[in-house]
Amino acid sequence: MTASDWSVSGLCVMARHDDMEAVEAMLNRLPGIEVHGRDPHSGRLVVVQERSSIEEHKQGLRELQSLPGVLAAELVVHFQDPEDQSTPTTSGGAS
Amino acid sequence: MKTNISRRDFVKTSVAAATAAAVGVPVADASGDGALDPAIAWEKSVCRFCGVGCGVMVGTKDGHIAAVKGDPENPVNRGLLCVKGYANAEILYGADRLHKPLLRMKNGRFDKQGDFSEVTWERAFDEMERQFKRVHSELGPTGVGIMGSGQYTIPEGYAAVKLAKAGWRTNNLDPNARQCMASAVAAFMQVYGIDEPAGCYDDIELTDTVVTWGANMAEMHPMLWARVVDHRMRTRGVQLFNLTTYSNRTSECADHELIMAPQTDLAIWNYIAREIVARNAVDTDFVEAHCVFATGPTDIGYGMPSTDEYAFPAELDTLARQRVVTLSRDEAIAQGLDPDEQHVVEQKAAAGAGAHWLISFDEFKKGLEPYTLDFTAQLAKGDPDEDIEDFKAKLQLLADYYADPKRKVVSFWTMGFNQHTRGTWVNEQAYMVHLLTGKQAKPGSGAFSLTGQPSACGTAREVGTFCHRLPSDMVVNNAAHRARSEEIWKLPAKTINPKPGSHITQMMRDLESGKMRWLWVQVTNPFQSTANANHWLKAAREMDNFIVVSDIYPTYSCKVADLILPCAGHYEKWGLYGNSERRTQAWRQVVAPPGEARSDVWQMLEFSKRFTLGEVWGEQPVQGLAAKGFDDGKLPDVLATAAQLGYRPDQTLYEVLFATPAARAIAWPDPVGADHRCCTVDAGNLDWFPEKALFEEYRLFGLHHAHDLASFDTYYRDDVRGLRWPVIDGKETRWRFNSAYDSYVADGSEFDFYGPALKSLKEGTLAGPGSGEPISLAGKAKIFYRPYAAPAESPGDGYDLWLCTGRVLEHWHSGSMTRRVPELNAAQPRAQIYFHPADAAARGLKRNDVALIESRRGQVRAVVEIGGRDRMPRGMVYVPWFDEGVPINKVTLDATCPISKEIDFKKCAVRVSKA
Repeated sequence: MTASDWSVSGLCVMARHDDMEAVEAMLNRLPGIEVHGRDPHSGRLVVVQERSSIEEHKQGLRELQSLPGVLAAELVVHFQDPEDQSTPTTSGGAS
Repeated sequence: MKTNISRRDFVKTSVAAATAAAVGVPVADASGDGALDPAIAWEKSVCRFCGVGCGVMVGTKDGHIAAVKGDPENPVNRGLLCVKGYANAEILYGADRLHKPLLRMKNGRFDKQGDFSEVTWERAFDEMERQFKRVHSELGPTGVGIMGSGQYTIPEGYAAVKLAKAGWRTNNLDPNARQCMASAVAAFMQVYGIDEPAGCYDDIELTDTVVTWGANMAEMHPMLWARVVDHRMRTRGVQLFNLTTYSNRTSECADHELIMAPQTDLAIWNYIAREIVARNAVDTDFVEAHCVFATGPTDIGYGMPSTDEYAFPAELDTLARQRVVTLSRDEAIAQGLDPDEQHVVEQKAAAGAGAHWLISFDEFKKGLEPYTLDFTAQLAKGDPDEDIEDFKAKLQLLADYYADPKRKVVSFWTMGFNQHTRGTWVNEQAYMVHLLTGKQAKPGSGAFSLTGQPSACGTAREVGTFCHRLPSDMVVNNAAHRARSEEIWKLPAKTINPKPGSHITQMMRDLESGKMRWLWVQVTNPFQSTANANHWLKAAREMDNFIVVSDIYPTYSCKVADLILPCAGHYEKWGLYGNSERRTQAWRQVVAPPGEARSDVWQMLEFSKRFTLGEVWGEQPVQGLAAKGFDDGKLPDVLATAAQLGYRPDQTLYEVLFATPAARAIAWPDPVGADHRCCTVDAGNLDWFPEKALFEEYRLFGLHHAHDLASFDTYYRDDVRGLRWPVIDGKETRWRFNSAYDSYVADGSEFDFYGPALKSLKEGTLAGPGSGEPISLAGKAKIFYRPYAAPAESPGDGYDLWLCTGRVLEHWHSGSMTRRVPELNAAQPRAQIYFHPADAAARGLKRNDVALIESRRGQVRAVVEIGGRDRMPRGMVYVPWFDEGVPINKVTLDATCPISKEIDFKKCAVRVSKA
């Protein structure tokens, strides 16, 4: 992935209490996915995803949503490095 | 610039910290999201999409929106956003944003058959004015109209109401919200006498049971559904029950799924109520103290045209059911009639469908008697492949949940109930069960109508942009309500037209029949979203009608318009929205609109300068007007009374309605807008603040009338993330009608259903009202008995499948915004037809084939999907309506609930073949 299109999204993944460990282990095995935090009480995992396009972020989110043991996965933050490119991918512009 | 590895680690840690902070999860290294880019200026705002009303933090840099994230301070979504919420920035930056007005021209002149050419705003308004005045002089105020929106900001909707009702004296103003939650409104008014839910989203974390009826919350209200699932996970014993006509994503997290046949929700509610009565589970103290029983006529038709004059030949058989219905065997049983006899019922109450009267508890019980488990199960089982005994067990379990006095229950619904030819009835049935069991207006218990648009409640309903309404639940056909509005608006008496105008579907029909010939479409896309669209497309393009569409993108409706006006998008203007739980939220303009795009408020203010009082406040013809104090068929000349108020006939509507002395006293610059611009002010070169002036005037309607809003500035405070009205002494109201929470409840009562509308009724029986005097029902809610009624059109006669339409997660409504977001479009690039595998195979169709979908009204083609997110029972197909390349509303039926006038987009008959 080139520097110019590298971006990161932060996701919240929810799993049943009993499945949390297995889900976390599975997530950590996926390329470009890291688990950064967990709350066993609520079943929430904080997941960071590295991808090279917004389409890939969305595709990754959908893949997480369909993993066994995952009840829900939602995107919280998407970030494109401002030192790299200061605006989100847009095809037009405001005056 | 190369992004080095340590920088990447830093960014990942920052993103993790931001995510964790947003969702309340601890992480090892919480450096905070401020580290992401200190140059980004963050500002609280609101999501542009559905009625949930999520808080969004909008980050701007160098005049562009550089980032959006969920607002962790907002109690609605607590930092989470769905995929659409994330797209709030991108929807402003699609490649085909409209930058200039476009008029159909040939040889330098307006020509209906011409191509769109860029024109100045001056030229655009000149033509708009010329066409308006031509039509107005021929047809009077009913010849013109506005189709508005549940996506109007509050100031926009209020400006539209004032321009139409006070200025032009037309009630032809109706929002797309008519097609979204009019049935919910009608039921709120009939049951409680006041609109909008008693409870709030806090119920989610306080309940034991969530039942979704015709609401695929997982896709349509994802952030609320995330709260539901979260609560289910954290709390032992919480149960989720999904009632739906096909298996969807909401079922995936539900404990129980019940697939029902279309329209049979009416029977299921009555079965539940019958069980509650049979099990002595009625909360007798609550019901006796706070409720009465009521019913209404059943021969009310299907809200279709009463004439065949404009029908296609193939439509005639369905249309005939507007006048005469031969009851099905199930309908006969459901209405307590002999099923072995034929019942041919003339639909005599079609014009008075909302009438109702009191009945006794014994009559109510008699109405419920036919809804046994056996009868209901055979009628309502929606999956032909499910075992009837399994289905019965689910029905019984559902009744157990509602009947259990120790179990708190929240019922959520959306379009499955509202878009229903008996939509008002089925909304009322939800309250029937919740009131019978005393599970209403209490923390953790309540029947709760979700909305689909960001300000369906805040603007369409509260501001009153409906053809029969005025602000704060008032209506045009009530003399006292008109008088109060005329007083606040400083109008001469009898300025406001007492005859309700045409609802949005009727406006389409009026364009076809020539009764209305000038239309302004604002913040909506009705030529894609109105059922039976072939008629309306013809009316727009082939008849002598002038159609103006204001939008940010060239929508389907723009393409059939004569004049297109480019608009400012949501974060390019100031605004306030009101969500499903009565929460009013505000945002500031953070970026400028592109090119010559202008706010809708500016457009209305500017156009109002084109009318003098002399042109609109003289005597006006209004066909069919008959009201006390008015001559039949006309509105009086009010110019003489206007003179007594100090108005001159040559003054413009702009001066009289908008730039009033009170409004101009609200100066710009304003401290609330420090470091911000206002595009309305900029375009008009104003020294006053129209959005704030409009809001502050609008607020007068609700104060001390149970709709109290806080001041404009309050909603912009850093420590405020919206407030749920009524807001009394700065304090919001979470549960209305409940003395512990609502200061409008009369002293000494625990509950007080104080809504004032429709609170005087005659007594009668299931057969009809008696001849006695009306009885006052002050403080009471009504428990309605409503029977099962068959749909307007069902499979048969060569059209063998049910067609249901709706949304998908990635796209919102007609897709005019979300289809401009590359990732959303990539995720769901086209509308598909969802099939049961056996139904597809029987037609020789496999996944990715192109299918031809035909109804009595039109045809479209769509690609076949067999697996996927929506799993259909045999006999039903689903096609979402976001895709203008698959204009499914050419196929759908424009039957409506006869009370609410909301179209049933969920049920019509089609046949499908290989294209």
